Amino acid sequence: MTAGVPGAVPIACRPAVAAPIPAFAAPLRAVDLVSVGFSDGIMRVVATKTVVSTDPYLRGHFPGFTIFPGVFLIEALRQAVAAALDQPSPPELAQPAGRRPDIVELRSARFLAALLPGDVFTIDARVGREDDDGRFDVEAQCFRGDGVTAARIKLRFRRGGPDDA
Amino acid sequence: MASHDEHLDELRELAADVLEVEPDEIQDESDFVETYEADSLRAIEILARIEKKYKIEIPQSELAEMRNLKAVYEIVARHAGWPD
Amino acid sequence: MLEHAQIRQILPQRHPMLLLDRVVSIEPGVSIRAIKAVSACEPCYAGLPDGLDPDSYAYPVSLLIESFGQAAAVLWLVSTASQRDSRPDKGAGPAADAPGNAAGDDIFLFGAARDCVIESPAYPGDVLCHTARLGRVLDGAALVAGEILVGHRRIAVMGSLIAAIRPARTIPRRGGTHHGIT
Repeated sequence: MTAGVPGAVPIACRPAVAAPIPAFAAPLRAVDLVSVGFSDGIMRVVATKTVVSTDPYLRGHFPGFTIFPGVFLIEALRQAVAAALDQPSPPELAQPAGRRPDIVELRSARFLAALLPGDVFTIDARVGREDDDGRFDVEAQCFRGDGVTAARIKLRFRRGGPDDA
Repeated sequence: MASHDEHLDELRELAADVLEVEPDEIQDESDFVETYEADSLRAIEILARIEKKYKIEIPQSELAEMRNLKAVYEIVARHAGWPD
Repeated sequence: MLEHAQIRQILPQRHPMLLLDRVVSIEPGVSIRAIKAVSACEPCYAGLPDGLDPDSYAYPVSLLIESFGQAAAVLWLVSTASQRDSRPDKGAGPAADAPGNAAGDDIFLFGAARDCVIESPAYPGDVLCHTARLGRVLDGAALVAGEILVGHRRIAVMGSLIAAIRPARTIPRRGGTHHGIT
């Protein structure tokens, strides 16, 4: 699939696969489908989700009027990256196997549009290379189904999370 | 007191940091919204950083006028009492 | 100190998305210290298979940030309560009439954040202690910065957050372009 996301640089992605149910503490399953592509040393991850008011946590945000919380887009990016890194990658981008990466820094985020039940959002992320300490940067744009940008998020991850514990 | 150019460069760096571009990408009269995809959240961040740095308060009503670096300089100069 | 019952009068979030247990201290207009106990019985720990690595039980960073954001929201809402109470368009209904209650007609939203560094994970049994300091406040938005501690250990630095508040009526029920942020 070549993700036809507005403004995106076309990098052919593999067909989307269902995102696994997270095998780590997570507020909800924040992505439905994930597809991964590689080009010029960059991994590109495209993930989608339909906002459903019966998902965990959403009945409290807010009672009688559901809005998908901005932090759950951060969660969606985290789960998309985790799912992508679980898939096989080409030799030149082979990430060292080992501990699951987690967020160590929210470098910046802006939440620009409301996501309501029934909205389908798409996360389009670029995953940078890991450094010697297992850190890598991810930059993502999140689009609502009507093409409006819902969020821009830049995260830093690290294999094994923040500690060396 | 710093010169006009020094102040302008300070503001350029501050805006560049918020807009997440390199300082030399910010032209004096390029519109923040059109050229650098700024939105009201970015504008608020720029305002807050300016106020903190120069110890001034800029009324919220002037936020909409901070359209480009030149306009920002003029507003800050007025409130900070910079000679032109 | 504000107990959970009072927090519910201030914040519109409800279970299980109300991630603040108690406000330990608050100086309106300046800062707040508030806590949230992380517990294995929270929904984010539901349905996990057996045999996971210990770090799989780290409290999700998204919820850490949300919990801190809610402490920031309480600080802002309490700090601006007197101005809001005198607003003519405060909204009808018993919930909206309660002093300092934003739940009646305002939706509190996470606008933006920058430089939030997670230094250490939190685990079930940890009590998150948020310290949030109010920066610039504008009509409909506020900047907040602070830290999260567990005991004496700092586990996160929240460099800067922008919270936005919008009257519920301005948020389209379906579709539409945005919730007032341009």
